[in-house]
Amino acid sequence: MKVSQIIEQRRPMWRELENLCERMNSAASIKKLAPETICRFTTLYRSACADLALAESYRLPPNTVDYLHRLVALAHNQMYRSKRYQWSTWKDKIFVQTPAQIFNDTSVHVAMAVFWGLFILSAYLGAGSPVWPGFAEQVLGETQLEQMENNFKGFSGRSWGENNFMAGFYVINNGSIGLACFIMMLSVIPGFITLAFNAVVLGCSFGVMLKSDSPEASANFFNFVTAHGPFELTAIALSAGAGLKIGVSWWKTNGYSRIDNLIKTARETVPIAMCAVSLFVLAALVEGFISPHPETSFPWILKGMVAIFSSGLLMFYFVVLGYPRETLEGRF
Amino acid sequence: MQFGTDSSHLQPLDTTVRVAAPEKIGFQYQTVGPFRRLFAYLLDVMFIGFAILAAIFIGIILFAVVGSIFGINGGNYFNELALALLGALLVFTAGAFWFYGAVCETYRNGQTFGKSIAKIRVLSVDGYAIDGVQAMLRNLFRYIDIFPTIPASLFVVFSDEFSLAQLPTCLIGLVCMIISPKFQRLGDLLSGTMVVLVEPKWVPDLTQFSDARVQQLAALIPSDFPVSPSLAKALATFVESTARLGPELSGEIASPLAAPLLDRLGFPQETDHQLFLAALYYRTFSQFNDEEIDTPRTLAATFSPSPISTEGEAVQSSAVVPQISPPTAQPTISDVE
Repeated sequence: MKVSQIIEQRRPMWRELENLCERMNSAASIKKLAPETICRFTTLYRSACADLALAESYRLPPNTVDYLHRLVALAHNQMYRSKRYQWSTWKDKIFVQTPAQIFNDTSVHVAMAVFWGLFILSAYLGAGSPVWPGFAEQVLGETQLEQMENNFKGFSGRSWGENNFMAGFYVINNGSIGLACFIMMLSVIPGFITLAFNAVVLGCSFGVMLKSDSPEASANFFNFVTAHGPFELTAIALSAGAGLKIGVSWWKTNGYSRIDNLIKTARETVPIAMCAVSLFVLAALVEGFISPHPETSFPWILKGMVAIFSSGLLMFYFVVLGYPRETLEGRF
Repeated sequence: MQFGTDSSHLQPLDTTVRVAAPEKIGFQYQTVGPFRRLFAYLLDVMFIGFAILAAIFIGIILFAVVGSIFGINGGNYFNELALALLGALLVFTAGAFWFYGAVCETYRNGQTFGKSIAKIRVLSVDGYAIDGVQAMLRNLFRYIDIFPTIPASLFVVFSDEFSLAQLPTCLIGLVCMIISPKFQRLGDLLSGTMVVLVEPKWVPDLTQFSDARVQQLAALIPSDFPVSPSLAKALATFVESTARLGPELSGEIASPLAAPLLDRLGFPQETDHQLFLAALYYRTFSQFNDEEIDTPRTLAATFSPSPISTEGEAVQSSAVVPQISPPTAQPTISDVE
């Protein structure tokens, strides 16, 4: 058979396959297709594969070969479509695999230890410890200390509309903080510097406000930060841990090629990063609706209970659910 | 083109990626460079912008409806409702920017709406469709690819209110794409993905010739003249490119290919090279095939100046030499479609 005849004969089938590919572009449109049409698609796809093999083996013109490559690729995309989120496996992922992974992850341990260690130490030194006199002034500066006290002296709470607005603002703000921690940690050393800086500044602020000369500012400060503190601070350390995990995989390759190890580690990091995102969103909601001044939201005792409950929830999730069990062996 | 003596391991200088399908066929994808991807991204940003505008519009309508139902014409309730809606809008904006790419690429088979228009698709490096985790990862690392940022205040068009704003330069992503043979940005490298073209170029057809001399000359080419696959490819590439190359460049390209073939066939070198290659193309793809060679040899011999002997030795003949010399006008080569 002549080449021109082959092309003439096959062209309607190629056109049909092309049209079917267009019709199958969205998942919703596939559901509307009749079973016979889908069967027809598979037949046409296999036929196009055979035509491509023929075109490459015989002397078909390059533009025909090129076209068939694209057509087969297009049909291949529809034949083997993207794998969606498997909702049925999410229960296992969220309540079994993720806490166990976080519990066992060295990068998360290091980030948590650095963050909470420096946070507690700075809070102790910032509260006027004789070990390092003038620590708070050196870290925060006289001006910022004064400004912080004044801000919380005049803190009079928010209306419900403002609460809604601020919750939205905190979602964006917390997301940016988490992203910054994560990104900086990819370059390990600058990441540690950023994490340490955040821990020292936050810890020092807590220490200063604990021993503030103004009881009103101190009370307002703890009234505001108590409820959302556990979620937000843990999320910062967790996102830093996720970033550190990828950062370390650049040079600690565990026998894999550098790029393969990066790809593998990046996939492993997703549950940790998603956990951090969830905590940031929870923190933003608590910060928006529960944390404001007791006159417009909840009394301090209730905020204290929220803090205890959220800390307990975190401990339960990371320690109780994450504790290694025999049934989990071999999953990681 | 390949360089060096041992070139077997060298890859051609192109942007294609070969994929093996379970149907035991290898096919190619063309990877996509930064400009087409930037176009798709800008379209996506535009769509997100429209979605935000739509959300604002819905918010305003909601605002008006609530006001009319409860008879609120202003005052504190109005302000509170406005602030609450603004908060919801902030959450919607953050969600749209953070999850639009990941959700679209997972549920729309590797394509956002912008990518659909730009005819590009995200795939795993093995050629298969991506999964939700890959979509999430490559979109998360976009925030690194856009670095470093520069202060917006460098540009005089921005007023003082934007003095703290930063503009992305996308240098990290761009450098990664330049280095990577598959045009992968950092997010693609870490998630094991690539972006490919999904546009079928055209429905192929053979080149048709309006110049009658092409068929005449084709008839003079011995029917058993072997055309190797590489020669067939070269012929087709040349003929299909003639229209866009122009007569001078076509002539320049035709000579090195046509001259040895004319020698081999014993045709006079004065034969127009482009016309000869067009005739050989016509003979290879449109006129003859291996099973259907029945052109009378006697006729070919009559017009052929020097028939090729089976031993590869040219036999001189006193037959009529075809009077095919460079034409006054170039052969017209036009695609049917």
